[in-house]
Amino acid sequence: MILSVRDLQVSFPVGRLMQRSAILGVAGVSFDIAAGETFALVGESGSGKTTLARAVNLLQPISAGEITFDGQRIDGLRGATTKPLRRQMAMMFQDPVGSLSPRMQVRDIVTEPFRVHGVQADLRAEADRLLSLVGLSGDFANRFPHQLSGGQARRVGVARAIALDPKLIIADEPTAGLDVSVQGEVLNLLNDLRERLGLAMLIITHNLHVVHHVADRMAVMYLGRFVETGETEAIFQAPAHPYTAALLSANPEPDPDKAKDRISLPAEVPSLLARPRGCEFHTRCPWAQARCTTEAPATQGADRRVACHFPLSPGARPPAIRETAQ
Amino acid sequence: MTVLSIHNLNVTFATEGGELHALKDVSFEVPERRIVGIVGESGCGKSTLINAILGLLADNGRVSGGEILFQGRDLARLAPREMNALRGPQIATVFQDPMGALNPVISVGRQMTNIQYRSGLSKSEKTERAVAMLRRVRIPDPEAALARFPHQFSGGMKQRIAIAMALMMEPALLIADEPTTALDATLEVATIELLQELQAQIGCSVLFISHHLGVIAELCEDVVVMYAGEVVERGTTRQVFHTPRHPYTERLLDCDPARQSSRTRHLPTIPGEIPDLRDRPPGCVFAPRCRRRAPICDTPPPEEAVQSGHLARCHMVTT
Amino acid sequence: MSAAASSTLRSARRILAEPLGALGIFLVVLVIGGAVFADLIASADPNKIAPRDRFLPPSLDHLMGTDQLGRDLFARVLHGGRIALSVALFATAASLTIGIVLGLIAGYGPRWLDNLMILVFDALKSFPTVMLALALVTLFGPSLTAVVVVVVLVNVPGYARIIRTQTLALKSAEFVTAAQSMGAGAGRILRVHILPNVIGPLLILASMDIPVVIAIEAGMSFLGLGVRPPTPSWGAILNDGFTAIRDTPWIAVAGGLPIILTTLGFTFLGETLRDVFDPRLKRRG
Repeated sequence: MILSVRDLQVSFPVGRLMQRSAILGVAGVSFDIAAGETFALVGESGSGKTTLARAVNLLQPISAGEITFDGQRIDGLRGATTKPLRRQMAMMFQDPVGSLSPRMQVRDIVTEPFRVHGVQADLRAEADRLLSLVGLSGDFANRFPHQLSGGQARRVGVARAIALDPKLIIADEPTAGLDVSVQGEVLNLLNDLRERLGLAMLIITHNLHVVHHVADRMAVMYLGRFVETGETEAIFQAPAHPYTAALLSANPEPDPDKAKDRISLPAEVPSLLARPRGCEFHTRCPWAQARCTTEAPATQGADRRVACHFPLSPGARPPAIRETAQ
Repeated sequence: MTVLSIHNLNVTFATEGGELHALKDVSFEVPERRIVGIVGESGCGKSTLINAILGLLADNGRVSGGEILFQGRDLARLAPREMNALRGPQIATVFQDPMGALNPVISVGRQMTNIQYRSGLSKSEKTERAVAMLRRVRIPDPEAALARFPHQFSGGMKQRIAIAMALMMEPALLIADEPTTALDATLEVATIELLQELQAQIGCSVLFISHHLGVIAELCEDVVVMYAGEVVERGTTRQVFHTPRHPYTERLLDCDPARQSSRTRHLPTIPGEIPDLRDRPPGCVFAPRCRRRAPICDTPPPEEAVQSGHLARCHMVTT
Repeated sequence: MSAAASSTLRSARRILAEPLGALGIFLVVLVIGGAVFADLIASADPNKIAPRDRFLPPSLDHLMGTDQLGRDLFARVLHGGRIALSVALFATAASLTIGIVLGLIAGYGPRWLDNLMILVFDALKSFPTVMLALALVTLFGPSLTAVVVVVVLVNVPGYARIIRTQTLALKSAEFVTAAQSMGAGAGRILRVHILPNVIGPLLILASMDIPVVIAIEAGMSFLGLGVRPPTPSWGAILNDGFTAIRDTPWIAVAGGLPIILTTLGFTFLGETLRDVFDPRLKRRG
């Protein structure tokens, strides 16, 4: 296992002196990533997926739990002691152009890891090598971030991430801000590099279709917890948790005649300050029953895990369907 | 009656590097009570098109040809005061960021009564109307909502309030510019369904701009596909999505990950980039990136009719 | 031509295109030229006392006349330019350096340090300049050093504040987080990622402050708190001419005119610089 996370919690203090409390951004999460594997974290805004990614990358302090990377416990590391680790774990950020320093040329951006870690090398040659690995020609080396398109900036970010041959890459919304016709570029590139360099990847996204093509395994997050984990293909064929089913049905295929078997959820996500009792999804769940309002479900299963009292059987439809036929 | 009719619209911008031809010979119609979608990627000219319709082009931009007929009147030739009178009551807009419509320091209730200033209603009538509208967009506890400020609502709710404000005056045309792009998938679903409902009740026409093909397929009856400032294909959604005839439309549909039913390690893309609009290619604007390119593509392609109502701007349409 | 050189040339052309900008450049060049080539342009010795030539009005021999000690005013004015400009340069450079360092620390460092520094800055800013000058003169005696220290104390809080605000804004920018994720330390981040992105507006502001610096030097010298006689500071000349203004007004003119021209020149230049480099105005075709 390249990465092992156990019972991770991240809490944020809220309120002032007299009324201090805390909200749990990540409320107890466990998963593993094997070397060379791609694992996807799926969730909507407020699910805690970005917080979790930052916590794994030690950019966000954690309040409980363990993180083991390449056999070493890293959750207790602070400050300068994290530096050697950062060569092995690289992160790519959401904003393709915004994550590149505006006044640095591409050549310097992709070779910065060398300078930060004092690795001796012919930096000009390394820059050219890295750029060609991501499919950018040599004359991109002189450009500045504002002279790059979204897709090109994305690829520069990838080049920077792989500069020192990390074991794990964390990609936060790799297709955000990209047009449909170029999304494939980044995903194909990541797949290619993964095969060539044997990288493991942790992908954070809200785009389920991206997940389907890139991830071996995935986890669905809701209010800071995993509600379903398992092999991507299996989950797509037969989602077991109602939230997963709703997410899958919420991504319409571009075909006006496809039957609208949409699972509609009441739109409002509960606030983290007032988590629902029992199963936290029960306020929006079309299948909710009495037990769900009082008792939190245990996570059942080993390789395929679901946190639900009544996991769905394949092809299940919600009890009261709103069919919007055309 | 056609609510909006655009004929051969051309828009140019004067820039440091030369004249930028942002929209070229754009034509399409928005009939009464119809939802028309505009699909395109970055640089296709959607924003320029909306700005041109609303009379909000930047100082260095102008309509260099064609007409924008709204209920018969050419918007491009209207005086600013007349255009002002139309914006709001007749042509309403919803943007990607609801904070573009909502003033952060004024309560929602006051904003909603303020925009009714041309209605001639009394204060209590305006308030009633506001409450009714909020109820229609399913904002919980609408009377209390009036007193609250935008930041006290979630993103999805803010967007619904923006929609309520836009539709309150029952405009003839609603322009929605990527209204759900910033929303999560489950929220997007709810917002689209809401728009459909309201459109049916109010009977307005909707011009819905998005790059999200799935949403367009679900919501829109007609669709216009734009590329680099031109309309490359248009027709009913069924026609265009089931039998795309322009190579760009075909490739665009192929690239949508939702189309890929089985798992693939190699997603299709469209290599290359849109051309520099200060220096448009002499013939078809998509030719440099087109797989089916032939020598004839160096001459400007005509708009060919594929079937009734379905048009594509391509030399190779009948192939 | 490299990208940087050609863009500088383009900017220079833009500045010259504005009438005020052209005038500003002209005046500034005039003043700097006069100071640098003072010995060549005015052959007279600015400190030579000639009692027989006292209070001579402007003439071909003495372009600006002579003062109460018979010294050639034109020569004094040109040499005074050296003082004004060297103070301006040195004091501004010192203020910028100190202000930038403190601002970066305040913006990037821990909250308590930031609060403390803001307190100190605000306290400093609340002192009227003249009082500061008087207080410092008791420490350093009337001298150029006193002038420079006053300028630094007056300018640093404002500069530091600007840098601090920008730094605070950039602290959470994604490219800074990316650098932290890579393992870059605070020093590297401040130097490589933050500083280049915050320094631009400050440089323009500092150039617009040069007239203020010159005025402080002139003012202190006028009050006798700055350079000691016989050094020909413009403020000192103005002081000399002040009492004799009714009968021999040219002395006051000799002192005041260069101050006015220099102030105007740098102000025009600074404002034009600011307009030319304002990214929002750049898009005009």
